[in-house]
Amino acid sequence: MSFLSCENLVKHYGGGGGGFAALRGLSFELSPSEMLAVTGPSGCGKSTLLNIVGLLDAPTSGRYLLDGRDVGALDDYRRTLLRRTDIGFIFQSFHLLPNFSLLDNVSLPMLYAGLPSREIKARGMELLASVGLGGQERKKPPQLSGGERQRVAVARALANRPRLLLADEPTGNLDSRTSADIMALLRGVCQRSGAAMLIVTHDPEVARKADRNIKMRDGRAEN
Amino acid sequence: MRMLWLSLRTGFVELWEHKTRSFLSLLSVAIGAGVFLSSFSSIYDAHCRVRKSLELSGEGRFSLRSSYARSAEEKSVILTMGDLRAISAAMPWLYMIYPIDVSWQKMSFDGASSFYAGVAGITPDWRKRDWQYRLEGRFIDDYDVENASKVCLLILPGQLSGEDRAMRKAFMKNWSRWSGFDKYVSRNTVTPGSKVKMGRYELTVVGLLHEPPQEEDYRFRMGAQFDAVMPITTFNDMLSQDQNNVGQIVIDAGPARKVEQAKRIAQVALESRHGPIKELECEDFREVLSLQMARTVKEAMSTLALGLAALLAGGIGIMNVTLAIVFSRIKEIGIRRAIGATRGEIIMQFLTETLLLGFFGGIIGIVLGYYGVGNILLGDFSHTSKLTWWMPLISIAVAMAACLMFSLLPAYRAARLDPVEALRTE
Repeated sequence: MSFLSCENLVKHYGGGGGGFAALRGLSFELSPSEMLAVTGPSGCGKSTLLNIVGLLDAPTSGRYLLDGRDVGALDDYRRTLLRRTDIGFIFQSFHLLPNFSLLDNVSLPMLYAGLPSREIKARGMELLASVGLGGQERKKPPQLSGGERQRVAVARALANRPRLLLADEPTGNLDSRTSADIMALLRGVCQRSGAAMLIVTHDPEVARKADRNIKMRDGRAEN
Repeated sequence: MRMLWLSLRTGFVELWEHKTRSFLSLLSVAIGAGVFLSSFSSIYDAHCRVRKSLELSGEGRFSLRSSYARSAEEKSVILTMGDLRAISAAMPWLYMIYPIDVSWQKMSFDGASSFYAGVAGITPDWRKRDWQYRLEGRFIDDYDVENASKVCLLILPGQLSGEDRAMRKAFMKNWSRWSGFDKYVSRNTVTPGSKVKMGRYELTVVGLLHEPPQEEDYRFRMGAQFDAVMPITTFNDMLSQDQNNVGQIVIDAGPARKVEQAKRIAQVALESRHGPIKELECEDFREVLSLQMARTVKEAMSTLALGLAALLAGGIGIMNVTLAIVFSRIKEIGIRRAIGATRGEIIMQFLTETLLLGFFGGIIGIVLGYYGVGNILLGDFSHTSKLTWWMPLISIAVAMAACLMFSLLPAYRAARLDPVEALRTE
């Protein structure tokens, strides 16, 4: 049974006859613990797909089912609530808050989710330890390497035990060795947590490590 | 509660990480709050002074004046002690009634130097109102009035406060503006028992009336001012006038609601002695008070407008800075929205940050308000505002309210940012 199902997704930007279609009827499914890579040239609609799947944006038409529930037409507030509990994001540029400690960065989603303080701290430290950064809770992101920052981003994405992980070029700013480490980490996370994962990438090495691939072109899947 | 704590922590971190921006924002809030506090304190002080003046002066006071005919059809009404007794008999419930007449007389203490001074003839009832003097010696009594005793009291400027000393120092530079009496008493010690030549009489100074310091002087100054008082009968003798004559009769009917009744009864009493009086020359203290109050309110509104303008300027500065902060943190807003912050939580975060500015700015503003922004710029720390315990709280509350109001738009704009666009921002 698929956890995520997209049927004929269309996303149109602009109106009055002058806009363009970033997605032109994309359909796919994703199961728990499955890692799906989405590849394609720049401008093919990968990021648009990620934003819609991540509930940062809504499709113009089509259906988006998450765990059997149609979430495509939800308002911004409900999408936000769902995003904070069910979805974790990993970005190419890490997007950590530079003035806060690693523990604070990892704890942020849990604070928004309203978890108790004691649980937040304990889980935060556990997550940092699980990505190999135990004992460095007080450090701040500028003090870390690229690979270490991405590990923190992974830890943050896992904070609320999401069922869907979305990674936008997670190795885009990393060297090949670090990229391999991060992919291994992501694979392990996927298997241990049972979360479904969708990775948008240009890197064929990353795509090869996924369970399935979707190649996109001009807003459609080629395969 | 957790979200509030998160917002507070974020606010503190942001304030600390951008010290220059925070300092300048704090300063603009502090100046606005300081000017507002200073204005508010002035208004409150003026209000308290008017209230104290009213307590001292009494709300039911009015005075009757002798009137002189200006044409053949008009009749002069020269008030006398007999009129005073008639009015007093008609209204035994009066709180106070006394006669007063004022003149300028040549005064000399030692025969060597002489000068003109204001002199008033009164009776003992005069001390029932506007009494803020420190009496050294004794006051005039009924015996003095009945026997036209050759006694007087001198009115001396009281102990000077620090502020008065500074003002007096400035005033001393214009020595020529001082009255002869002021110059004499500032250079010489005068004590009860001293002799003073006034007009054709040598009088004994039986008492000294020390005035309070200027900032503690709540008296409403009505009519001519004078430097010495003596029994009305002695006054008339000195001026070779009929002993019975008086310039004015000052009456205090008690509560303000009794004034009109008192005026009517007084007119009836006078008409029984002088015949019909077309228009009684009467000065009602309530009219003087209204004028004073109107003047005070006008000054207060101007001062408050100044304070509000300062706060407005500070608030616009806050809005500008908060907008700049929002645009500099677009990416952070996108991150927070992506990981689950609602629009309301984004608004709360930015409002909390500016409320922090308002709080600390308000605290600094208390110091500025106490010493006065203008005084600080001039390096003068001697003049301070009178603050009650709740005024600083008002200052902080107003500063926080202003910051909140002026950060609503920037916070709203932050919350409305598209997280996708925000995350793309470099």
